[in-house]
Amino acid sequence: MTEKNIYALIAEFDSVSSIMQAAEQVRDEGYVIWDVHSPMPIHGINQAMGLRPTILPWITLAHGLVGAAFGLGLTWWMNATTVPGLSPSVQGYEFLISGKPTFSLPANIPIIFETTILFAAIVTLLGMLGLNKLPMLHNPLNKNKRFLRATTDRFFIVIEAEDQQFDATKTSDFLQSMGPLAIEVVTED
Amino acid sequence: MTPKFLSFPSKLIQILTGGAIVGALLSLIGAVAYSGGGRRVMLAYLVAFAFVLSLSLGSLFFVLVQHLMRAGWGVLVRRPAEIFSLNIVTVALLFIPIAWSALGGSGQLYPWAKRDTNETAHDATPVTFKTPTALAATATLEQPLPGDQHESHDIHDSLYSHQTVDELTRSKQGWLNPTAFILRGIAFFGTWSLIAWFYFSRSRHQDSARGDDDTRQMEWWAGVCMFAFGITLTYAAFDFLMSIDPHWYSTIYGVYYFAGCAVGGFSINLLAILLLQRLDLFPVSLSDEHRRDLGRLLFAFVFFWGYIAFSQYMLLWYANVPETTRWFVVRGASMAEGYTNSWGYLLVFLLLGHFVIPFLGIMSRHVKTSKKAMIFWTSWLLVMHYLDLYWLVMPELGPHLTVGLPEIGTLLFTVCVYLLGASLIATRTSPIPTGDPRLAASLAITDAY
Repeated sequence: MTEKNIYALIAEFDSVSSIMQAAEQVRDEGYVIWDVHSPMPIHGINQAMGLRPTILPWITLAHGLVGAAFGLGLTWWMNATTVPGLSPSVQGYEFLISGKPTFSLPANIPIIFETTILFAAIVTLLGMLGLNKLPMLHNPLNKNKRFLRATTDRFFIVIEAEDQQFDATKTSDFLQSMGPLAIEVVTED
Repeated sequence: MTPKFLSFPSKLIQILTGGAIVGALLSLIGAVAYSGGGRRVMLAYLVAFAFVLSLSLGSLFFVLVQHLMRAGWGVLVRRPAEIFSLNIVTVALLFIPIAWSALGGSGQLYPWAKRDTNETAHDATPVTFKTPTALAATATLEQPLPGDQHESHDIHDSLYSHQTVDELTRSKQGWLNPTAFILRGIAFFGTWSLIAWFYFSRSRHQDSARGDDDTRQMEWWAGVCMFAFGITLTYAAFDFLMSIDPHWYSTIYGVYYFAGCAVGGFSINLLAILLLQRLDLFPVSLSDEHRRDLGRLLFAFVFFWGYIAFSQYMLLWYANVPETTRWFVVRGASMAEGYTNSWGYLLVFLLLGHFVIPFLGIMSRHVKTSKKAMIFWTSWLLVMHYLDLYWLVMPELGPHLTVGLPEIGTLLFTVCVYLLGASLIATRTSPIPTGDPRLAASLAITDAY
């Protein structure tokens, strides 16, 4: 029977203040691929973990602008174009509506607004999923009995073996120095 | 060491008093020196009055919505809004000249208030809509009038014909008459003062009484008060501002004024807090998150204003009915030949300055958390909000954009009187609600995303 690869080391804590202190230490030690699991949101954990601000707002802004351009192009093409020589099935409909010019911006702004929101909202959702590497159907942590309490009353620090600084004994000693309730090795399966 | 209670140097009081006197003098000089100055000063005064009124109403909305939503984050920043909303009593005093004008029968401010001289000749003055449809830019499709100087002058004359009492105006005098106007004004200011006084005094009572009894009472009444606030604000906007053109109506007008109230009210609260901090008069330091939350609220209502302004425009533009497009034509929205006027520049400036530029400007979180940047943007939005009201009212004077002594004088007068009232209310008041049970939780917010 071959030895299973180590997936991560987990350390269990029982209070917000201890997990905050531990997170700051792990951050200062220079670990990159690690995470904090908690049953509820903790104010200030982002700074304690040294997380950089997300780039998601820029993705949203960019696609909002793309949506606006799409809406503008759509309404212009549909309402105000006749291209000679093009098949009638892709021509615009130049209808005269209550004496307005065929391309009237006020009438088109609701469409442009909607496509802006539509593009921005959909890409924000997809971008959030992508940046979080979701959907992730399985994670070795899910099989760990101890880790189940992360959804009720325990706080966990998980340092993954993938991290360049990870070393089974050194990292274990480092976690031990912070006084957790328990430390456990989680293996790949 | 910051003082426990707010107190302002007597020099500030002197400056504000001096400003009010200078403003009043400038307005008087304006009324005498300009031709038609009386009417112009009254309209400019209405703009300035609506401006300070909106600051108090926006603050009142902030206080109410905080209690309605049982919001904990805003406890720390609620007191300045309570002070500004109670300052509605000062605005009530400023309402007296407007009530006086409505009673006077000259019709300078409100054409419907003009004493009807040809009462007997009702049928002799039928409604005439000489105003052709002109909002659509399709001058070629429907242009009966070549735009030579003489004829375009005639167009402008016909646009202002509602200023004499005609059949249509007379038909509305069951609602729009001086007595009803003043009774409604008293009801509006009574409601607002009562609500503002209730929230201010409860909150001050809690400073010493502690406990959560006051909080529960304030939350219990918030729903009822919000209803009263919404209805009174809508009808006040109809009465005070929309009725300067008694022919025209727009059901979204109250919401439009409310959007301006929110922008103005949130701006002056954030500005007041930032300035108090700068002068070391605010006892605790606001975290980035508080400034960011207030900035976000302001940002949302900058967009809301744009949304509502466009909604009003689009429906009237689409329908293109002469009676209703007149309002926009007079305000410079028409590009049809012979109908353009210089208010169009202000209109475009508002579109950019009240919506596009601040929308992009306040979007970033780095801007929202920067004190200097937010001092700039709140001041900018206050100026834009004044110009917005200016654009609502002043085009009734005629087709030429005007700025002069009457406008500057009335604005100086009302703003100085308003700030004087606010500083009197604020004196001997703690700048934060020290007795609120959730103050500690509000202070502790460090990371709100």
